[in-house]
Amino acid sequence: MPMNRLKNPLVCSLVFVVIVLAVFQFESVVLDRLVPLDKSVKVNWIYSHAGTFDYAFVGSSAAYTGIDGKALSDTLGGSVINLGLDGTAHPEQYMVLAAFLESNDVGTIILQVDAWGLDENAYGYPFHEYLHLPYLDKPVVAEVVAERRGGRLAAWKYVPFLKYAEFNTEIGVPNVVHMIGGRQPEFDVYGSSLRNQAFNQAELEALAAAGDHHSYAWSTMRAEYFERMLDLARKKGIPVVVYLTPEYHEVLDYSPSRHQVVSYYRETVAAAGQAFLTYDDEPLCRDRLNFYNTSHLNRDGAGRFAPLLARDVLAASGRD
Amino acid sequence: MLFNSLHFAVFLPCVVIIYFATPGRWRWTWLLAASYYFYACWKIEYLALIVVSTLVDYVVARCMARAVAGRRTFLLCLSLAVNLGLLFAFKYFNFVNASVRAVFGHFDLTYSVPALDVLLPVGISFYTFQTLSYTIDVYRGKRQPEMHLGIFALYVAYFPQLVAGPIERSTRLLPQLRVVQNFDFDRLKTGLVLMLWGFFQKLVIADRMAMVVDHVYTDPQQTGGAVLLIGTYAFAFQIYCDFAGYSNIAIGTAKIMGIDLMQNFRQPYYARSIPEFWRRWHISLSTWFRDYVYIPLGGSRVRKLRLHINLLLVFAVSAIWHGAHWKFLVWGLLHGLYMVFGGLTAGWRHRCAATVGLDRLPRLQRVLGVFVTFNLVCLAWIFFRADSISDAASIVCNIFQMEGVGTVVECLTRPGRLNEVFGLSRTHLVAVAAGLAILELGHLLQMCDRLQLRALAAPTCLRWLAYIILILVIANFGIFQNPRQFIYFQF
Repeated sequence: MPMNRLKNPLVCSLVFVVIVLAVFQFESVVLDRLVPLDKSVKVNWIYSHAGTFDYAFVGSSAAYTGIDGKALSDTLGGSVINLGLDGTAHPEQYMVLAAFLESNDVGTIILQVDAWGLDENAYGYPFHEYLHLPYLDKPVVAEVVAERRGGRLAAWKYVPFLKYAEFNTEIGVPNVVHMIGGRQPEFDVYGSSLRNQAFNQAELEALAAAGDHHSYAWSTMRAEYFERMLDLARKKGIPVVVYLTPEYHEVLDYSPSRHQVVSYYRETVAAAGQAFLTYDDEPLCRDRLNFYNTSHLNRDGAGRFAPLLARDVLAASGRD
Repeated sequence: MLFNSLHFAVFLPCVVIIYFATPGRWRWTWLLAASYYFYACWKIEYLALIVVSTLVDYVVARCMARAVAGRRTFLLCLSLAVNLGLLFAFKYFNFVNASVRAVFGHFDLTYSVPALDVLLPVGISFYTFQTLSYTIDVYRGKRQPEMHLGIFALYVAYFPQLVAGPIERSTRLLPQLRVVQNFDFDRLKTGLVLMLWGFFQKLVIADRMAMVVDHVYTDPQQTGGAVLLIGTYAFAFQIYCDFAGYSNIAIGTAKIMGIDLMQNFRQPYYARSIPEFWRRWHISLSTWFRDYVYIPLGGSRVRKLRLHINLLLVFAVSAIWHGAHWKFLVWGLLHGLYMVFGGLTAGWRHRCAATVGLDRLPRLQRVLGVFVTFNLVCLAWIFFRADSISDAASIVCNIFQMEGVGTVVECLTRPGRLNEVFGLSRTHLVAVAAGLAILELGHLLQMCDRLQLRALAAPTCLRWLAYIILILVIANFGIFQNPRQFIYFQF
């Protein structure tokens, strides 16, 4: 374009805006390709799989840190993958499971649930949409992100670079820096991150202090996504085993709505014709050495829990 | 409404487009409505304070023009009483009340005046000083009272500088508000470039430095001196980039609409002495105090002792302007003492420099001056940033003990440690380094006229490249999640 045309303010502004948008689009395309290569991020690691697994574990941090993949793989006698994600609630778990099942074959789905998972007041469980934004071309990811974030999906999808700019401390450049720096994932080959920490007494005391004032806010939305996971498995013909995560026994006193939540899970799972497992009465739950906080097993606890869970899963699937 | 919000990104283009589409004589109505809306987005009730302040000063100034000498003084006092009274009620009452209660408590006396349950109105210190300057100027006969209530209301509430300055003078801003500005593409470009620079300072540097500062200052007693020193340097850049960033966005916004606001910062950390620092830092406030407090007290044409007392007094008032807390007073008095001490030792320092031959090495002398001044300013910043005077004192002690050097070295080799000690990931560190390099490049351009001319004369494609790089840096490294309020909003 002749430079004298750029003296026209309108043309000049337009050309500049177009160049900026083009640069953003280019960077967006580059990052769309680079971000998934950062396998130190669990979501990228999950979405990179395309294969066959006998057992897929789905859940929140209790699954992420409490599933001993090696022990379970040995005891169950099949391949195991842990899709558990730290700080997630059922909507995100559903999205990951559905996207995973689009490119993987799974023999049995094992869903981890806990008494806090349906309580809006207990944990915020923010929806980590940013981790999934590079995967908006997956229909189920786009669908769930749209359900959770509404019209913003269109902005993230069609405004060049917006998603990487808005979440630039989480995705995009940070992934590139991780890869250049050779960051290793904090999870093992099964997708589990077993912890060595000792029991956190302060957390139990905080829970005790807050216990009397705690009010339960039932999340219908989270329950819906839980049911969608069961429905998804049914449509795919995959058996499901749902287990209530083992918690340190004293915590049961501070969880007044636990009974109601467990009843919901039990009844919903039974209605879907699947198995529901609980471990509240196991000796495992009475020893704080098995936990690093009230509701998370540590490495030792996960090792002790693995044979129990394997036994029940095999029994539930009629393979014991 | 924050400048660094989506709300403002929609608000500004709407205001500018409608502003230039409105016939000249009615533009003030649109700008005034936009300015009131801008303020009301924060808390609509407190808009009443701006309206009261506007009406009082408008009426007082008009009456002053017709009044005889004694009555003029009475009117000035009335304006001061109303404006400073509102400022006192909303900003200082609870502080004074708590201090008096503490004194009474010390002597086991009962004191039952309750605290006021009020929020500090955003920008009250800024617009109060702006209206006061107008009334004082009219009182001194430096300007005629503004007859147009709408234009005067706009002078008080003009949105780009309403909540954090620059504190404009009526002699400068009011005439500009009367002129009907045509759309000027060059002004638009200059304004946008200034805004871009401001956003870079705020989003890339200030908000990222804030992460370090908040992390390091959380538990100062348990933090090593070396870490606290880095945290304090980080705060120096945080507060500078936060406030200078705001000022640049404000100046750029106003420029788009054809209004020139005064420069508020001139690379203050390149100052070679404390007086020079104050000629470069928050210029609109420094000159306000010079014109309306320091000079009326006698300026520099008084005896030495009086001069020193005046300096301490001006800095004490300036400190209290910043916030209702003893720590601000210590911060201000420290600067006052720097000025007094600097004045007292000027001759001695010159002799020392001559003795060691430093006067023959002006560059080294300049570098030393900048280094010492920057560190003195940082020492004072500790009191500004710390939660209390005792925290600040322990930070100063820890810094002088200089423990924790090993921790800092460890952070450079272990990214996990970097996060633990400074609350920064490796990406943030890259961003901080890149950001500071660009900031200093910008300063170099601003300070060197020759470079500035060459940059302005550079081909369009090169200038565009520079702008695009800046936009990319902001998009990639700016902090957009949970936008932070500007630090000076609290004043």
